[in-house]
Amino acid sequence: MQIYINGRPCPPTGETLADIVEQFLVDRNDLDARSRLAVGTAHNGIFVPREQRRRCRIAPGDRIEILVPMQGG
Amino acid sequence: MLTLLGKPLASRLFLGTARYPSLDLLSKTLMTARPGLITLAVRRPTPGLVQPRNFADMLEVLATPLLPNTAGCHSVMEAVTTAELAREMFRTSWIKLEVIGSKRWLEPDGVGLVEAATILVAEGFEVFPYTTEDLGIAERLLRAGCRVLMPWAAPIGSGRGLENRAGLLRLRAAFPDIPMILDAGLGRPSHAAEAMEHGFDAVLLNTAVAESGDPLRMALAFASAVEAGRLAFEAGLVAPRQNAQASTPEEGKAALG
Repeated sequence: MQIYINGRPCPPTGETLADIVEQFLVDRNDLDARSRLAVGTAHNGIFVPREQRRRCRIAPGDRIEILVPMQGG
Repeated sequence: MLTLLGKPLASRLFLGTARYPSLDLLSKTLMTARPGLITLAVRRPTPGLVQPRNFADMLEVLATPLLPNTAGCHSVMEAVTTAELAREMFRTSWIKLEVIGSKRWLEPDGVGLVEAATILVAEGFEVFPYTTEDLGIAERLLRAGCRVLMPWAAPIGSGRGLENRAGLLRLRAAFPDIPMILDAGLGRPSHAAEAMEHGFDAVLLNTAVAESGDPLRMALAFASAVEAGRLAFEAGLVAPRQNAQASTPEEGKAALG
């Protein structure tokens, strides 16, 4: 089974979006504490609020976006 | 002091936060110029793209009101999802809505913009639409529930100033009670002063400051220009005349010739 996190193919690290985010933040230890708290998520192009990540189940081929605050114009 | 949608803002100069040589310089520039609003984006934390580390900390310290954007979105749904993400991440319902049509000119897609604005207003957002000087699109955006308009001066990053001055002035005149922020394409402080002289409520720029030789000094130059232009607008500009008119009265002039 394969999913896509921020456009990169990889095996899922859990059954829910919350699991995926948790592992993503473990892997990305370069992110500062506030950015970690502020991450936003989308599942197959649909925004998933923080409190709903645990209920969002992952299926093969799913596209996950895990995003952070950045500089912008 | 500008009050925008009930929120008092410290300055009529709004700044983007991208393209600075370093996070440190960005931070110093914002601390010194004290813009009324700063714009931000939502992105993947791609290593090397930008510096996420301490960026969120800096925002907390600055305490400047935030205006996240939907930069780079070319479809309505992409823009709507980005706005929803931004609301949660930045804890604000204000959104700078960009739905881009032309990739080359980064020109707003007016039809997509109206559609996205309609959806977002219904979801409770305060939508700041990045639009052109098109009167019909502006009318539709206001009907969709936008309470602010953000027309471009020129294409993003072009530094060309008020390219379609007549069109922008028509837009300003058509909706005198709508807060209007001139966004994008300003290259010089004099462009900002000109916009403010014409009665725009604020200006938003990024590249002209971030890519100047000295962003900190350039931000201060823009801040001064914005203030000067606003003062001039409030004072009332004299109408241009076709012919000369002596400033010094003729009356009482000595007969020396």
